[in-house]
Amino acid sequence: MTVESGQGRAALWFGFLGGAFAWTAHLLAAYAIAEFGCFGGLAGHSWGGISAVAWSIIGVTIPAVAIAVAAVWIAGRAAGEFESNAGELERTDSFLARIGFYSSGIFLLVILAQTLPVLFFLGDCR
Amino acid sequence: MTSSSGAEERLATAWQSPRGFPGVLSEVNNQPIGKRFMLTAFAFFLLGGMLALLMRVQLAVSDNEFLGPQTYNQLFTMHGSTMMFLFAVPFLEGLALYLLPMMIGARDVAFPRLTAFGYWTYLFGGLIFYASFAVGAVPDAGWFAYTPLSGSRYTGLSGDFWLLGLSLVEVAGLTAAIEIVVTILKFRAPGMTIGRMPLFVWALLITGLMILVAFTVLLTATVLLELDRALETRFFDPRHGGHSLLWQHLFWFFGHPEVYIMFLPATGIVSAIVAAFARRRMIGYVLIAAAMVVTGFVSFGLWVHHMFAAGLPPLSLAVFTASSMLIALASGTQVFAWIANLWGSAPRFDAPLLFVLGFIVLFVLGGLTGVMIAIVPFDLQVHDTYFIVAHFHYVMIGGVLFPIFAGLYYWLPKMTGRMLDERLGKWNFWVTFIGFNLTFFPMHVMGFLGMPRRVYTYPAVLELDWYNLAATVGAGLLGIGVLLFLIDAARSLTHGAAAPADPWKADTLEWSVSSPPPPYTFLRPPRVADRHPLWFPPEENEGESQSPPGDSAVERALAAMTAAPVEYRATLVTDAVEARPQAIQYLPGPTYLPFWAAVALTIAAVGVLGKSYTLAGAGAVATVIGTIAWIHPRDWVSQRVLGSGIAEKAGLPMFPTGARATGWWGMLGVLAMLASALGALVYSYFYIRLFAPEWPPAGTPLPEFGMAGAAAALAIAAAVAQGVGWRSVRRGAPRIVIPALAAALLCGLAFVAIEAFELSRQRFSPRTHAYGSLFFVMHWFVIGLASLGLAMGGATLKQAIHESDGRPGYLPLMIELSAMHAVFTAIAAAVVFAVTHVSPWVI
Repeated sequence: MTVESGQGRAALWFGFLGGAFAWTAHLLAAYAIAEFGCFGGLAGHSWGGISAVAWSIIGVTIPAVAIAVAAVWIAGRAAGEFESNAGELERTDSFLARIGFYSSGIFLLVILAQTLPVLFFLGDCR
Repeated sequence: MTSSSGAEERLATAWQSPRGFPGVLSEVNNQPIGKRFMLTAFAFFLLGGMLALLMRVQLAVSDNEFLGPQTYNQLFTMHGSTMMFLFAVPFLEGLALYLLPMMIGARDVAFPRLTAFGYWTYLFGGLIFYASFAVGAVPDAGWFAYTPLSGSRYTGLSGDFWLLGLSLVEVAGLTAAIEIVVTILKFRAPGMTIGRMPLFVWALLITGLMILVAFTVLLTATVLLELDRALETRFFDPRHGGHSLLWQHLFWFFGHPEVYIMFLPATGIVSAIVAAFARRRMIGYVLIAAAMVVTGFVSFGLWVHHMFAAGLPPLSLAVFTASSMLIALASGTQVFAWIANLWGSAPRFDAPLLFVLGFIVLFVLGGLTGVMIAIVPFDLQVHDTYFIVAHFHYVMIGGVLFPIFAGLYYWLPKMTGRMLDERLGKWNFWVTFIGFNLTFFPMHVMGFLGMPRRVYTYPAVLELDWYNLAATVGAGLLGIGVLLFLIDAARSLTHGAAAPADPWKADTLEWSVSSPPPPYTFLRPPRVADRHPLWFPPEENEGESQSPPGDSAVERALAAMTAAPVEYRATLVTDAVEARPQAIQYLPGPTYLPFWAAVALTIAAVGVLGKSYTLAGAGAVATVIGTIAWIHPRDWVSQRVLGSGIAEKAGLPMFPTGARATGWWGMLGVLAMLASALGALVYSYFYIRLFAPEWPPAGTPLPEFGMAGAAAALAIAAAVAQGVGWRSVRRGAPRIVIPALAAALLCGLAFVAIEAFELSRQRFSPRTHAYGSLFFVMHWFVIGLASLGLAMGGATLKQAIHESDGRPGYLPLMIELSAMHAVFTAIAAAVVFAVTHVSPWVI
């Protein structure tokens, strides 16, 4: 992957912002499901003893985690490549990749932490 | 800087502002405007501090009647509002506006007239705020103005003073945010890639982006509340389908990021000072930048932790607990990085560093209590107690005011050309530090012992007198600390030693120019090849930098800009990521238009305040006229710009389009704001709909698709026509431009007419029910957007006719911006149609 290629640049920006995007989407979805689901009656439905609210949050967590993991992986791989090729840490591509690696990692952690409470509310919203 | 003094004088003349009163009103240069922002904000800080001292006198002993409940409520509201809205953010914005161009190697900010407009709007908003004392209608519903207390049923004119004064201040904040973001993205010195930006600049970039979203949501909320109060809409009125908690959601969606909007620039100040005093390459630069990116995002995901006691579903609370706790990771990363930088560096403990060290101690304490109250059961115990007061003052004073003082001791020599007295500075630090802890540390204990916040007194039986007396004495000490700073600053202006260009031997570009700097800042735009440009100048980095120092295109641009142009103000434009030269930006000189536009907007606000809607309308019309006069392209400007020949010398364009143009980025910022406002309206719609037993309410028919669908289709058609016009300009086929723009205008006019007709035939009004309020306001929003689009489209059509002879000028950028706005309007119209007309059938 070279940063000059369109594909390389897109991957770099995905690594930089992918985690942030995944977290934002996950928070909005989890909030909407919890708030609107619990008040709106979604909690009344269940499957396998787990409420539809809990299933819905689990459902949105899976793609969010996948996106964040992909961002961490792509950013980490890019950071390694750029640094070994150029050997200069102030290069923009290397900088973007490393910042993406760290921030996407934290976003991944926050997504997982946000989903943890669902385990305590599998049955309903109370 | 190797140019002759004659050239330097001519350049200074181009950047000189008129002297005397005309200069005060017409000034647009970033340096004086930034200083005005800071001075005005500091004056408000002193006022807010005096209110706090009065409150502390009231609370010094139990059962005190020094102020009484009503006056206490007023002072408590004004103190909080002043510190949050009139001091911290405007001060930091002023510091940013002053320093940014210097720090990144530019001559001014991206939109100088907008800077001036923002300052006047801020000043007038603050004056409206405090005019409430003169008419005896002082806001008293808290700095958060919770509904229903802040509604017209319980709060009279004082509520309008709060909302309208605040709205003007928010407008000022938004203008400064656009300035900051676009200036950082487009005006950085060649070679200052995003990986080499000073951390203060990184902090400001993220802060600016946060303000665009957060302030817009607050502005939307304040407009909705004012509509409830003035026009009797029902957004927050539960008796008519509204919901009081909606205000809290919207307010805290702004309110929590607001904490970080103040905190991030403060951390930027800390990073700058730590690097300068440690005198070594910044350890953890990438980690600090990453932490700021994370903070910028996650701070928007914490608003519900202000509402843990509001009765939301426990699952919601738990989700927000997680993000509230984990944001400490980002803040902790920065703290460890600063400590690592100072560790073993043997710095000189001058006043700036002392305030930085004080910040670290106090902010860590405030952060720890923040993690404690992120835990729901703990928060429920202490939520309405002084523990919270202690927590947020540790964060706000420790985390923001201490860095501000550090920054003042660090950068005032640059601004005034005079050094401050180090001995007085150290006294200031220790008195402030001790006074602060004496005031606020006992409040943690008071909270545990049950001292309620927001209450004007407490009974002796609580046995809290000694804690409170200590806090009051501490507040007095804190006041003395501030007084010491004022004495030091005043003394330095007359007796201070002359400040050299770089008194701290620091690393960033602002220290390369004289103290105080010339109005044009840089005679020759600098070139950068390292994160610490003064420690590692370009010539020492031959072969290492991404843009080789000898790059002929860069050298040609820099040579052309050396002591030039002298006929008008201009600066170099570079690309957003790599900072490669892209264009030369003409910058307007002194003008009264921003001042008059701000006066007109203030008249509109005063009209609403006095319920004189004719005056309000006149003010609004005058604002529009003033704005049109302001942005209207002028031939003499393009002739002067093209005639100067600098574009040819530099090999760069002077009328760029797309991502090369500052206007393009400015429009992107405006659209981000409008998208945030639309998002807040859509959220409000579904939030109120969620709690409604029937939707639409009984007796209101489901909306019909016909007319509204046609209107949305017309908005899309207008956007397509604008797009065709834009493409034809880009492809050099100008004969299609005028018909395409005319078609877009016709579609836009038809859209507005149909929307207005659709609203006029509804059998409900904005006053009948929250459903009607939402329905009307969302459609007013798109009508407003379309009207703005018509004004832009009309101006573009006029310009297209004017430039139809093929002369080069503003048309390509104008049509591009107009098309961007038209596309957004079409999207907004489609969203509003889907929400107001389709969703009631589905949900």
